[in-house]
Amino acid sequence: MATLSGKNIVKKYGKDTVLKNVDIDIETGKIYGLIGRNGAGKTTLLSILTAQNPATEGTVTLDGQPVWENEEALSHICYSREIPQLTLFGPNTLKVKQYLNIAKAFYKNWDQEYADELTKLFNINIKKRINKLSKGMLSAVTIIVAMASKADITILDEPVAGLDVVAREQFYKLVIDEYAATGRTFIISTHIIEEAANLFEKVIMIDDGQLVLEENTEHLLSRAYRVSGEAEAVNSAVDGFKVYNPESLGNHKAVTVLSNEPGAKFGENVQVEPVQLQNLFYAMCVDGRKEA
Amino acid sequence: MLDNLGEDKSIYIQISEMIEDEILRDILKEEDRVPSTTELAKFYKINPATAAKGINLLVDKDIIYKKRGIGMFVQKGAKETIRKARRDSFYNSYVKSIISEAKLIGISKEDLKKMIDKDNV
Amino acid sequence: MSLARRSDKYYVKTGLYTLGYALLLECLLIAELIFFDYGNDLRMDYIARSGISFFFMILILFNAMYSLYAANWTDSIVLSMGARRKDIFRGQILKTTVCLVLGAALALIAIYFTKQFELIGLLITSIIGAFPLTALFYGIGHKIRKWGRVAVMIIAIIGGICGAAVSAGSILRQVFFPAFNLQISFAIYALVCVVAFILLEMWVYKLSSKSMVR
Repeated sequence: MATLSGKNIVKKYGKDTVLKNVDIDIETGKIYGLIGRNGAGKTTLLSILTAQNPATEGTVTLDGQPVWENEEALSHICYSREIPQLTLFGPNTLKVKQYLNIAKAFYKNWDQEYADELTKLFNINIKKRINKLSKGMLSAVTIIVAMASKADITILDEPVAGLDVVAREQFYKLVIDEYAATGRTFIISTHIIEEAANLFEKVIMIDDGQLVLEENTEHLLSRAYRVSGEAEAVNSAVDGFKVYNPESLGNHKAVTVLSNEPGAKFGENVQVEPVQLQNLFYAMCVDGRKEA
Repeated sequence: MLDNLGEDKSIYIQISEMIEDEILRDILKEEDRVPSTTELAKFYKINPATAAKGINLLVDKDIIYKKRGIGMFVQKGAKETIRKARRDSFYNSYVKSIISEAKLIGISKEDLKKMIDKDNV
Repeated sequence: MSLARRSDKYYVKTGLYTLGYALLLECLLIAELIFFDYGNDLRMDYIARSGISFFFMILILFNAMYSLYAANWTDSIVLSMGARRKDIFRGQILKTTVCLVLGAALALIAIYFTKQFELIGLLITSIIGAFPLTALFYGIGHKIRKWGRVAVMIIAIIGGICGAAVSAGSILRQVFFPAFNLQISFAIYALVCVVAFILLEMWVYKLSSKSMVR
C-alpha cells in the first residue's frame, strides 16, 4: 500500500495564502471523500498533490518519491477536473473526441473500450465541441476520463456537478463497481455530500486553507452527536466538549458535538441523536467564516 | 431485505443485522448463499469495505462462513445462534426503552402487562 | 511506451495537423487564383510564385498562432493529463520543427516542379526566422493572462505580419544591409535568428517550468 503524502504544504498567490501548512496522507486502496466550502482550497490542494500546480512551500511524495515532474509517480495518478471552457479569442475548441484522444495518448493505462462504454452510458456525442456541451455532459466527460484512465489514484473534482439524479446514481454505481473490481484509490470532492457519504471510507475536510479532518467516516460519525433539550440542561451536558452550530427555539436548544472519542455520555436530561455527514460538515463550517 | 439504510446505526451493523433478520425469518436458510460484499455494496450504494465489515462481523459470530472461491454461506445452526444472542440483549435493546416511555406517559406496570397479555401473536 | 515517447508522438501529430491545415488553406488559395485567372490565359508563373510564397507565410503564421494559443489551451490540457513540463517544452519544439521542416520540403518540391528557383532564398530565410518567431509567440501565449487579451491581439497581428515579412528577408536586405555582400548579410541574419531562438527558448523554458493548470 503506497501513500500519496503532502507535507507542510503552503500555497500563496501573491499576498493571499490559500493553503496553510497542510499535512495529508492518502493511503491507496480506499475511497476518500473531500469536502469543503467553495474557496476552501480543495482544488488547489488537489492540483498540488498531482503536480499540476507548484506549491509555494512543502513537498509532495508518492511512496517516498517526489511527484513533481516524475514520470513514475505521475503514471499512477489521474486528476480529472472541470474542463475549462477554453475561449481564448474563440478559436474552435476541441471536440470531445479530440479531448479523449489526448487522454488516450497520455494516460499509460487508458482503456478505450471502457471509455466507449461510458460514452454510450452517458449519451455523449463525441463529435460535439466542448463549448457546446451542457454542464451535465461536461461532468460526464470528466468522469469518462477519470474512469477510463485506470489510474491507481483517481481524483475527481466535483464530478456530479450538473448531473441529474439518475446520472449521479449511475456515477456512484460506477465507482463502486470499479473499486470492487480493481481496488483503485478514489478521491472524490463533492458538494452533494449526503448522497455519497456511504461511499467514502475516509473523509477529508478542508476549511479556509487548512486540513480540519482526515478520518475514517464511520469513526468520525460515531463521535458526532446532536444534543438537544432544555437550554440549561444542554449547556451543562455539553460542558467541556467541542460544540458547533448552536440553534435555539424558545427554551429548546440543540448543538452539534464532536467529542474526542466515540461513546460520549451526556446524561438523562437531554436527547442525543446521531449526525449525518452533511450536517456535521455544515455545523463545523457555518460558525467559521462570515457570510458574504 | 430492507431497501434503505437508516441513519441511526453504523452501516456495517445495519448490514449484518439485516442478514441476521433474513436468517431468522427463514428467508435465508442454512447453507444458502449470502450476497457477496460487492453485491451488497452495489445494492445499498455503500463502500465495499463497509459491506465487508458487516460480513466479517457475521463470520466472527459464526453465523456465516466462507467457501473459498465460491462465496459466503449460512452456517449450520445460525438461526439459533442469532436467537440466543438477541435474547440476551433483548432487555437492553427493547424492554428498557418501553419501560421508560411508559413511565414518561404514565402507563403503569400492570397496564403494560395487560397489553402484553392481550397480544395474540 | 514511455511518457516521453507518447508525448513526442502526440506533438509530432500536432505538427502534422498544423501543416495539414496550412495545406488546406493553400489549396483554397490556389483554387481561387486559378478561378480568378480563368478568363485570361492562366499565368502559371504568377500563380506558382504567389502560391508558394503565400504558402510560406501561412505555414509560419499558422504554426506561430497555434503556439500562441497552445500555452493556455492544449498544453494546459496535456499538463493536466500527466505530461511533464519538460515533455511539453520539448514537444513544442518538436511540433514546430516537424511542421516547418516538412512544409519547407513540400515547398521545395513545388519550387522544383514549377521552376521558381528564386524562391529558394526566400524559403530558407523565412523558415529560419520562423523558429524564433514561434518561440516568441509561445512565450506571449504564456503571458496572455497577465497582459490581457487586447494587448496580445495587437502584438500578435503586428508580430505576425512583421515576422512573416522580415523572415521573408526582403526588408532585411533592402533596409539593413543594402551595401553588404549577400553571403555575409545572410550569415548574420541566420546567426541572429539562431541566437534569438536560443534566448527565446530559454525564456519559454523558464515560463514552462512554472506553468500550472488553471
